[in-house]
Amino acid sequence: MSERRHSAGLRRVESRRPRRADAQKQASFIQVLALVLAAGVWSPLTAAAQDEEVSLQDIEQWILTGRYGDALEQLEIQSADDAGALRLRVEALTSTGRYEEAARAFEGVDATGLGLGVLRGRVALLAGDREQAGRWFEEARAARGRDALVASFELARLAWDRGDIEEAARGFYGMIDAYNTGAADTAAELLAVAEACRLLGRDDPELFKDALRAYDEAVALAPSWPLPRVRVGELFLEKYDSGQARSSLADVLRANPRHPEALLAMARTMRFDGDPRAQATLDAAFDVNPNLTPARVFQAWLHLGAERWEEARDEAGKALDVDPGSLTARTLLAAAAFLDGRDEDFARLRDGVLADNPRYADLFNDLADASADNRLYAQARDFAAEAVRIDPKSWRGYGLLGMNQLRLGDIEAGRANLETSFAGDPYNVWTKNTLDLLDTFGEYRMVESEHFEFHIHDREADLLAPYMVELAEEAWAALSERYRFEPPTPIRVEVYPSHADFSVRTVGLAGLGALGVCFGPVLALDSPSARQVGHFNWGGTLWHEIAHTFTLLATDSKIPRWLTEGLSVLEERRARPGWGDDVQVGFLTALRDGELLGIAEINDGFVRPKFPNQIALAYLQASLISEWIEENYGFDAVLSMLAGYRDGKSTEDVFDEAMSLSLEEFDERFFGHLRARFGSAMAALGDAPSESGEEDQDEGEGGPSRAPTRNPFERREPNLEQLALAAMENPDDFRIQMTYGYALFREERFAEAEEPLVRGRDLFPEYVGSGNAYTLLAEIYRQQEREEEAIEALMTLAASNETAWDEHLALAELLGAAGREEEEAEILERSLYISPHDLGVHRRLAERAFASERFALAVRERAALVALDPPDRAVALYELALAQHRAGRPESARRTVLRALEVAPGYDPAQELLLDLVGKGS
Amino acid sequence: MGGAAPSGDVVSGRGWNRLLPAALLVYALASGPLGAENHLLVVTGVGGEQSYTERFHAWATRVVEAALEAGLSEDRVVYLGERPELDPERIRDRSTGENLLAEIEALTKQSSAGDTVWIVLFGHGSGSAGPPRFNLPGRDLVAEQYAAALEPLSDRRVVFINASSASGGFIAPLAKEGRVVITATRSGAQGNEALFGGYIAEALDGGAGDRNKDGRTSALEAFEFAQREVERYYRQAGQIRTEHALLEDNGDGKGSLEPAGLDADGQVDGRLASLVLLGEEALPAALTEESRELAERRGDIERRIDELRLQRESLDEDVYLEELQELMVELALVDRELDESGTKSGEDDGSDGPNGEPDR
Repeated sequence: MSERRHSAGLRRVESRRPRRADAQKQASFIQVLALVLAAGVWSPLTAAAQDEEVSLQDIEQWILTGRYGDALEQLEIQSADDAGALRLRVEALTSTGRYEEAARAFEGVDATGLGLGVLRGRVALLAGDREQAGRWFEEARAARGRDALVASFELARLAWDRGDIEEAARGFYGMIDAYNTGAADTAAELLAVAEACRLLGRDDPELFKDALRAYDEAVALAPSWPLPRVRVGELFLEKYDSGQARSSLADVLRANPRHPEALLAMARTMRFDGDPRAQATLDAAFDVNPNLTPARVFQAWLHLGAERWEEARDEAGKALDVDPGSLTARTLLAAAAFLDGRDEDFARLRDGVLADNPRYADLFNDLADASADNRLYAQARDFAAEAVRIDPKSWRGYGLLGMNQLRLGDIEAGRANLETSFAGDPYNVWTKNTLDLLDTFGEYRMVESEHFEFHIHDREADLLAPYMVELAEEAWAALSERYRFEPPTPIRVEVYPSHADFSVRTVGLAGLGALGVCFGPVLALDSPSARQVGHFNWGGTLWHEIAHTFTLLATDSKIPRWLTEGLSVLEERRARPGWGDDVQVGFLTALRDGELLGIAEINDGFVRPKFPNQIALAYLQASLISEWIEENYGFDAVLSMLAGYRDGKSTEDVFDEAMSLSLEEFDERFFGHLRARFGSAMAALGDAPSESGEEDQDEGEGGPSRAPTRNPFERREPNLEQLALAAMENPDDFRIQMTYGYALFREERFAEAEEPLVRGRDLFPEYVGSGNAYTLLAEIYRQQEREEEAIEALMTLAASNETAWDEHLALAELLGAAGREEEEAEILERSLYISPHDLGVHRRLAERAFASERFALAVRERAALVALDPPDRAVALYELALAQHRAGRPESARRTVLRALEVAPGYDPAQELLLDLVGKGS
Repeated sequence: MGGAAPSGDVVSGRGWNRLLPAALLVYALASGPLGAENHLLVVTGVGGEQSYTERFHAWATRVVEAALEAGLSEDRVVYLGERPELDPERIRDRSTGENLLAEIEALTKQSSAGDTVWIVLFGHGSGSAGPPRFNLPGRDLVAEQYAAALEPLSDRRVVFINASSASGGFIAPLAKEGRVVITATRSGAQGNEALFGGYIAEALDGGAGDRNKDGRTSALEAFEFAQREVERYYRQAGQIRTEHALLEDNGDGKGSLEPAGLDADGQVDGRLASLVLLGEEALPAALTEESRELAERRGDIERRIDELRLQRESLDEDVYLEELQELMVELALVDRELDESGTKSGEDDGSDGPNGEPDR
């Protein structure tokens, strides 16, 4: 390729192209008349065909709106044998996956002479016959018909697919020349130009813009043709811009909701966005075209992500049945073999792919992605390195390499590779966002402890570090003893004050619902300032992620997702009262309705939830499974399971060895246990609707957010008489009792509210979510000066709800007033894990600590007050100095009291302390 | 417990007494001639809802009480309220535009050159459409009308605090040399409920805003306290902050989010505000020769402390602290002598210091 071509990109030849403003008006004309002569892949209809009762234009319209069956039926009736009819027939057949019939449709037809040579070649390609496809393309090119230019592109594309990048590039640049000289002027040719630019974008990222321009022009020329818009959607998704991708694909699907490629691209986009409708959308594509090879491969990747190797292989097999040479399907098989530990199969498959295309970097890129999806970050890094070795222009490879280096804590190498990736492809949003985030790392302070290395934003490091260090080291001690394993240190913990930054660190984009993430030796989590108070318990999240570090590293990251999540939630629950997920109404209705997944499918609940709340149910269920196993078989059974997974055993074998149970037996016993444990609460839910369709919840690594949701018992204008009657007639219905109790409570009819609320509490004592009985009863008891009962209610609540901020503070206040100071201090300590930003909590804890002569604790709390930049800074510093003095740290006290006097030189208590410290006290 | 810091829970009353000589120096800078007086006009606008009416009244009451506590005589404290029946004894009249203008006019007669006039508005404002205004019962007054009304007070120091929503538009029209203008928001478009007023009231009342522990709260300290607490509130609640207060006192009409205080030169806001204090300074009846000498020594040490602090960035931390310690010890010893010389105007109230530490 020449330098001129390389740098030139597209130059518009104005005289040959309609202006965009005119394009819509011209489109029908172009389709009906001008493209009659073009006879490309998107050839127009012949004039003769328009005389039929059902015209070919009608049939074409049917195809454009997804009525493929009707179109085929009508074409059979009409037995039309001209080029237009043949093209439509082949379009309809290929859209529905009937590739062999489509190939047969050309038998006895001079496809090249009709200008349908490229179409015939594409049919051969869809059926996996690349050699034959090449011959048809060559013939079309040699014939110099109207599809000759597109045939040239297709030949270049074939060269690309076999790794002959230089030859391919020559062909692609030829397309650009054709555009620049005005030779490419049909929609099909413009689409080919766009595709050429897109593939050449690796050499010159400006060509991605040109690709968009050519796609746009193709759309303008043939507005009803869906393919350019589908490709635009794919390009945006490739650059991690799912919003634009969705927009483009939605346009296509509005016109044709059955367009298989648009459905596939939309399913990919939804998967990218974590939209649970991805599978249904993919299924819709299969309904239309069960032989859509890329869709089969995508389905196989979804199975792989859910750690379902067998299904993944089956799905890839279906793709290979259609297209035995598919590089993507064979790559998937290689990934499945790798993840399944079948090393010989992996090597054979990998070598086979490379034999067909020695520069197919996406083999290793996909392997890197699959490894990272399965938490094998070191392997992901190594695969990405291999990708850039065989293709030094694989910018995706550099991105994956950098990203996984970052996940492993190798920040500088990761940054360098991301810079390389970004230089080659500056339109990759993930890379750009991550580099932007890395630029802020200078604002973070490193705080080291025995086993951890914290990176906390400078403005909150003073406040957070002491608590985080203390908690993390406590977790380390507890978990290393329990798991009889010590991960390599230091563990890097990144704490982000902006949730968007945390999200970028995790998935490259803002908007992730998760609270924390564990990459093994590297953790990242929201700082408490990233979330609203009452929506998050940072202590539980940190503990959760540290538990992941143990279970991931103890199993070489081979632990299934459900078990590592289940154990992390279980460890939270063991760490502090109230931590870990709570049993919500949705869980019990799911249990009642059989919506909880068996052990063989539970990973699906995390990886491809079918309804918004399913991931939250999966977390809780996984934790209850872990808990049940420990209770019934001891923690050694858990350790045995971890060892089994580490050794590459299947879940069936692991369960058999640890518990002598088949998966079916396990499900039977576990669900039996759940039904026994929650039977009465389930019964009390009556016919409450399943929550499978209810509002979305935050999700992702680190557990779903435990943010308060809407009070389910609140009615806009409750009819108290009706509610009273319902409550009387349904004394064992939890929701009715709670609804009635809450309605009375809102009316401040506290004495009357107590009875239904107590009944509701007793019917479902585990319920501590929004509108729970404990909070309301505590308020009633406070109003009635029944403080002891208020304390009891709030104690029960705080023992199960880790985020109930107001209730924790109210409980502390009641305990303090009752003289139960140790309990007060404990509750205040726990409230710090919800929010460490409240001056009053620290002040109270400091006072308690000082009064009980626990001066080290007083120092911690006084230091926190200083870190919070209180209004009375001089006083706060003085009090810290005093605590340090009492804690036997005179040098710290001296420095701190001087800082107090810097603010207020004449502040006499500080002066007095200084004089004491220097031996001049009175 | 909650977002707001309890006020005055650890502040002893002794700082006020101890620092009298220093405070006098500041006072002289701030208020010109000794004996200059403070005047306060507090206004609550239309609440719109009962809860707002009560809240604005509570804030206004707090400021009024703070002023009285600080020594202003009752005749120099005027409160105009939306609903005088809420506190007939304290609220002089309804806060209509006419009454408000009449009170400002009365202030021009009652006050003298060199006096300080505080005007504090609590309520709702608007400014996104039309001229910036503060919502009063009856017809509103717009910023230009306040500016015109204040014109006769040009030889007094005026502290004009508009703590209403959308008050940012008051900065430019009211800016003038010798005047401190504080608004709860930085533009007329920030129309969400403003919390700033509550924190301003808290800062002026009970010493919560007295950052340097000299026993008095300057306009700058009050501003900084309220600014910081508003920020803390939004951060703690995890909400997007919708109010950013401004302080303007150099007359350029721009206002500052972070005024510099005493360090400010003429180009930067904050200097005048750091010198203007709410309340009366009791004059020492008679300073002895010894205590006068001590006061001079004290002033000298303070100047050396200021000089040292300016060099902080260039000094090694340990060296800086050593030198600072030397000066602070010297200052503490002088203050001890001042204590012992019995020149204080007030008596030690005997209150305990923080954590039950008895005061000296």
